[in-house]
Amino acid sequence: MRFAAALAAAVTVSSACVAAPPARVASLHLCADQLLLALADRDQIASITFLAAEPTASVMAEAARGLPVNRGKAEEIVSLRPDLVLAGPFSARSTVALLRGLGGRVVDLPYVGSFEGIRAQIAAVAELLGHPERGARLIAQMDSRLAAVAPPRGARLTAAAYQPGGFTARAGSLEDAAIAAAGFDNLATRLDSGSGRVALETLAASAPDLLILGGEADHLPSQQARLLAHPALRALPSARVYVPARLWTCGGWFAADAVALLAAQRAR
Amino acid sequence: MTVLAASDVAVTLGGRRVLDGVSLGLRPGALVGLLGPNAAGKSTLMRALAGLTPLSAGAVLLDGKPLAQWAHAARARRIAYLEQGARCAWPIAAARLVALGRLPHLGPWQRPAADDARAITAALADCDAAHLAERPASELSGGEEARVLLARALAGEPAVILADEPVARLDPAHQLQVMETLQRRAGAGAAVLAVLHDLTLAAQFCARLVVLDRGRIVADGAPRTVLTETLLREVYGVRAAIGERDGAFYVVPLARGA
Amino acid sequence: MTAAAAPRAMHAPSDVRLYAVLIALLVVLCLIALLIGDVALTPAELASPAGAIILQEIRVPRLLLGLLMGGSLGLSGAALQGLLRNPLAEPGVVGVSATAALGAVIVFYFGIASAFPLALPLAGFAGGAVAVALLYALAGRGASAVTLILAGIAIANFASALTALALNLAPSPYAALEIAFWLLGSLADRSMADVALIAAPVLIGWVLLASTGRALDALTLGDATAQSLGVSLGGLRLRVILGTALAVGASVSVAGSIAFVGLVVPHLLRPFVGHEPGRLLLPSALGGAALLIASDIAARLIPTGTELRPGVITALIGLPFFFALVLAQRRVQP
Repeated sequence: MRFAAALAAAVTVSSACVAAPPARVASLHLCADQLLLALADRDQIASITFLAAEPTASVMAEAARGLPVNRGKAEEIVSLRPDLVLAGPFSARSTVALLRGLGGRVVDLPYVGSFEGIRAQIAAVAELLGHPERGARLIAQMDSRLAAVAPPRGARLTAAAYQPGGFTARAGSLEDAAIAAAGFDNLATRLDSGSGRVALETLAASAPDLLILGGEADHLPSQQARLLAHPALRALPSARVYVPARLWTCGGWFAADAVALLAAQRAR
Repeated sequence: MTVLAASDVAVTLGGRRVLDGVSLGLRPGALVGLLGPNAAGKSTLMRALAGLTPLSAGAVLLDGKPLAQWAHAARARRIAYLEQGARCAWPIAAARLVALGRLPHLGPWQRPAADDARAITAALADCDAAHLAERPASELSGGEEARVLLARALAGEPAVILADEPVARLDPAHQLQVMETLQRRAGAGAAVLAVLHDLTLAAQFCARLVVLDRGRIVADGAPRTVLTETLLREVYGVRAAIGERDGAFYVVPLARGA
Repeated sequence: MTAAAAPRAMHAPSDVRLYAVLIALLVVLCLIALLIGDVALTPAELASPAGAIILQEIRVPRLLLGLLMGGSLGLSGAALQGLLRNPLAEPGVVGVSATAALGAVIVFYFGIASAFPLALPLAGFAGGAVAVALLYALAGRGASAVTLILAGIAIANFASALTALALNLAPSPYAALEIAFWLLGSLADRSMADVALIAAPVLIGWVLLASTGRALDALTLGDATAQSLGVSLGGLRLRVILGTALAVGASVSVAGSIAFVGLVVPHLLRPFVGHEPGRLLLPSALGGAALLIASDIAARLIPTGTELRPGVITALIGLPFFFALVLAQRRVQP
């Protein structure tokens, strides 16, 4: 909620300065890319990052085709002279500072770890772009999807996410919110010692009802990815579901799809 | 009946002909002294006779058979080689060092037995090193270490002993003792070849002397025949006093040049 | 003087007591290793289905890998020191582990090992063999301690740099962050598949290394004397190179590089075997296994957020030894 309030305040300040919607917008971050692609007119988009066109990373990959791409560097943006630049949660601070120093208007989109945060961010960006009605429609879509899979009252099953290296869904993350929205108890919040990782032994001893896999690049060889093929993990009696990372790495309306995938497991 | 013979041997090292046309036969029961100035090729000849250096010509025959045809262990049982100035890399007990001489007699997983113990004890006693048995090799003086290393060579009860400067680090008393030991072993039937720099010592103990100069044998015979003023001048480049005293033959270098 | 009165040292000295102590120590450490882990389980709980999985699939492979790797490091350390006649030689210091890791990284991250699992230990073996051969060419035949260390540093650093490069070029985004695994090792979360993969090369390597005992004893007196005693120097060098490359190379390919075990263990045990290189071999294997298992237990007991690498602990133990040895060498040959 803090993020939503802060963002709303930032947008209000900048809106007060500029009356007309921006003609050309550039984005430095994948999460901002996807919002831009969904909410802006096509000719409003000056540049998006190269990740937006990658099907494994972006849900808007199709829409991103044919648009100019950047690699998040200030040089590429400055030459385009956009009216607005959207930066994401982990955009390089130096790049952002440089662009601001050159007189550009940069709006930081913070990390969203909850569905309220998603709604607030969609509404704020839609307002910025001058298409508030599109934002409202997107939010309504997401909400109806969530309502359709809303869990019944009563005992909840346990779930744990496991990614290469043993990383899991921390408390306060979007994954954690999605797991809760789908009607599961996030076991990892109990098992995690604070490092965001769960030891293999610990997971093997606790046996969640549902094991959530599908981290990025699981199939490419690495020591951390090998963990997912460990016999102890394969021996777990838990049901398994694969949720593509792109559904919940960025806080967008598509997080509802992740919830739907998880909710479908309730029936099993 | 020669036990070890070099037949027209030539050795080339680093492009240089170190030994050329060397023929030498060693018979059991004889202590032979190998003399010559520095860099004459004495150590190379010793190594060639021990089968440690590849030959560029000729052959070395052990019991009539070329060395190359001998199995390593069989050859090691017949020939013992005492390297010039060998040092022990680890501070092992002297008796264990001497026991290394028995390695050619042991099968792959065979532990040393009574025979081996006897040979080791005898070798230590022969070299007056029995009291050093338990001492680590690193704590021995130069002379003590030299005697222990000799005992190692004797422990294998070899038919041929090739000793490269066995008395180099010893005091006069122990020099005589080592030479007496080698003489005894020769008397017991071994063929012994020793590189020596002390001409008097060589003359005293060796019934036969071989002189090597610039890779060739220039003299081979009894000490009185070999050690002449001419040879000393031509080979060593020194003027010496040669004589006899109390029945012992002596050679004393006096000055360089003619 | 009869044979019976001869000093005891002349007969083959018996190391039974030493073996008994080392084996007992190893058994105790193995039991501890099986009983501790991320999850506190009583022996009764270990018999339950979930506990049995943890025991069989997580703790037992970890222990077996520690035994195979620790034994390899100790044994090869003793053999290398005997061959090079230098107490500073060991697989980590002379760069064998680093080159083995390079070989493994190339094969692992670029998919070759996924298609052909045996390629992984083979690549570790190849890397290790190149390092030992290179080391012998640079610093064999009684080179000074300084030359040996310099050669080892050169080889190890070159290999580590290439490893970092390979990791950066690897397809997986996780690769670049895994340099710590390869430089400091990890026994965590290995599986029986890993153990099965390296068991054969490691055991063959052990046989090769263990067979060098007599030749290493003869080598105490130098190359020429050893040859005169019937030792084939070429054969000895080959056995040490191949044995080290097989045992250490295969271990490193699945568990990363762990240094100093092969330095510390032979150094500690040498006085108990009369400083004889041949007698030092098998005790060093046992001691190496014990040291690595103990380091792994310590790593699991020390509470840290992320995994504490066994290589860190062995380095903390081993570096003081290393410095002490270097100083001792300087006193002997300044």
